[in-house]
Amino acid sequence: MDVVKVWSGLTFGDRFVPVEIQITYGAGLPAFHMVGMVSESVEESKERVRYALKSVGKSIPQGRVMVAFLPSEVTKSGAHFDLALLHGFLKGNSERLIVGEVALDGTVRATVQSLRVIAAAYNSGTKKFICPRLPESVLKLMPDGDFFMVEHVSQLLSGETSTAVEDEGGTECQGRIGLNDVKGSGIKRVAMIAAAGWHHVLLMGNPGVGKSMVAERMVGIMPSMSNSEKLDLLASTGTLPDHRPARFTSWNSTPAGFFGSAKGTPGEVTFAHRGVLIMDEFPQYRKDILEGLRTVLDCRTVLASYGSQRLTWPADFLLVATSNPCPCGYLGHPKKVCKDSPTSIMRYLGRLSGPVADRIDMHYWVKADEPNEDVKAVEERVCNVWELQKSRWESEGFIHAGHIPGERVDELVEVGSSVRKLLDDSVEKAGLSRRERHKILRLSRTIADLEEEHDIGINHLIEAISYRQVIPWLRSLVP
Amino acid sequence: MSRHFSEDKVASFLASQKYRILDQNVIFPTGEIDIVASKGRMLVFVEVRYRKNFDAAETVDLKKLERIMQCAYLYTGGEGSYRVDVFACGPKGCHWYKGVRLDGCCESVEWLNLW
Repeated sequence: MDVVKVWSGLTFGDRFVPVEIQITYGAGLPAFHMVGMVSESVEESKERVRYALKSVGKSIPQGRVMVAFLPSEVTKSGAHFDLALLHGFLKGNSERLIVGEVALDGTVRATVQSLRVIAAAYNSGTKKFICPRLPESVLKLMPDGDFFMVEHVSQLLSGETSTAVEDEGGTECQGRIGLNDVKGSGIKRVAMIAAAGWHHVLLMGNPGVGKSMVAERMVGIMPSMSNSEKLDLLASTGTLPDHRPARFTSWNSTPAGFFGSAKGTPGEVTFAHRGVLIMDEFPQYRKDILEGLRTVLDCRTVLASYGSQRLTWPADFLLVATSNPCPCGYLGHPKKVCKDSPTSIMRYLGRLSGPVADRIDMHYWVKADEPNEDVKAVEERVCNVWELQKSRWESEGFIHAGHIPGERVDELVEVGSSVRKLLDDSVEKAGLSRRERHKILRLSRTIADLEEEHDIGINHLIEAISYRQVIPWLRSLVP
Repeated sequence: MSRHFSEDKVASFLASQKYRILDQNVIFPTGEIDIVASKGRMLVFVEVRYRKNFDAAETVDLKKLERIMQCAYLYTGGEGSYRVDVFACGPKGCHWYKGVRLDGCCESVEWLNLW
């Protein structure tokens, strides 16, 4: 029995699963069967393939056509198997990985899923592809790849390859707004430290002081994404932003939309991978999201289990959360009076404190009347710290101070004896947890690096400790 | 070209192939058989399909086949040897699917230039 074999694939979280497609024919009444846990979208490819073949003057062979997708235990979904099927009908076997959706007129298109498959396959070592026309920016990420790009099905027969889609010019600078239009030197400094050492931030303040505005501008002061970071993002989400992603999330998101669903769609935390995840009105988020955030912040990956399937996605984002101090928003305001009852304030702050706020490195109180000094050369300083920390820790497996694993903080962040004594004293006095102690150490390391100093000084430590005092201060304001 | 026209054409073709036409349009509770023919001891139940614009054979699905098989069973009472043939006709001619089984597979396919 003649069996035609072609290759395609699917993504499983950020993992690539090769899929072998076998096609065989038999005599009988015409029928087109597909087996191997194919979902609706794959089942529909029968019709697309039928008409695309018509566009090049061919048809599905007479008789019974049986298509098997292997391994048959994994659910196949997505429209990107069309091109592989067409290749099987038109040309027979192929060693290359084939992805792409075909339209009825025979044009080949790139779906989000096909981009994900290509990127994930490249990450796991596949180098030869037959695929739709890809943008130059995508091809640049995969320099070793051998891409046979087809724009129309007829090119499978003629063997002509298409050129890459040219990128639109001028996108490089778009979306990169620096901190220039932000007022207040303190908040600029917080943004700079957070971006330099990958420290999560919680910005608190009265309404209208510019919390969200700063959050938005954080990506603008970070270095551009490296190719491997872009490839990871492409493999897990199928998107390729021009600059680091800045994802605004909404407080009415569902856990599946936020963390990704086990059916295969990534969530906001993955779309913000290697960028900034902005959570406006942090305490308003659903409790299951706030609690779920704990493990994501610790592991920097998301795990979704669904039956026997286990999907993981990368979720190495920088969290920028903003919050009011109380339900009415005016607690701690210099002129206005807070009208909330002490219990409602305590309940509001209670959502902030505890395990989640514990994992956020910097808490900062944004004041409306901060002095506005210019912070010079923010982007350059952030970039320098990135390079310094990368060269220092890359061999250990991480590149930011914010990523130092808790058990190795004491070993990797060295402090002098006087600094250590101050740290121990203040930890004991304020009753801080071990995790908070580690956060303070990591943060002082970044602050020292920003000041271009080799050793962590007392002033760096004091600044780092000051970023943990907002919530206790707010509690003390409650009558 | 009507449906009956194609059925008559097929019937006369079968007659020319030394088949004896026993019945045409036999109605059963489970459906209708277009032609019942025989050659030697073999009974042949024939389904004729005609479509102007596309392959008529695609309109014979597994459900239809099942119905034809049930009719064939009712006709023979399950005794003797019989087979089911499908003639899928278009404007240019016919595909003759010989010995179709319940799963849609068949013994042989022949192209006939009937008109």
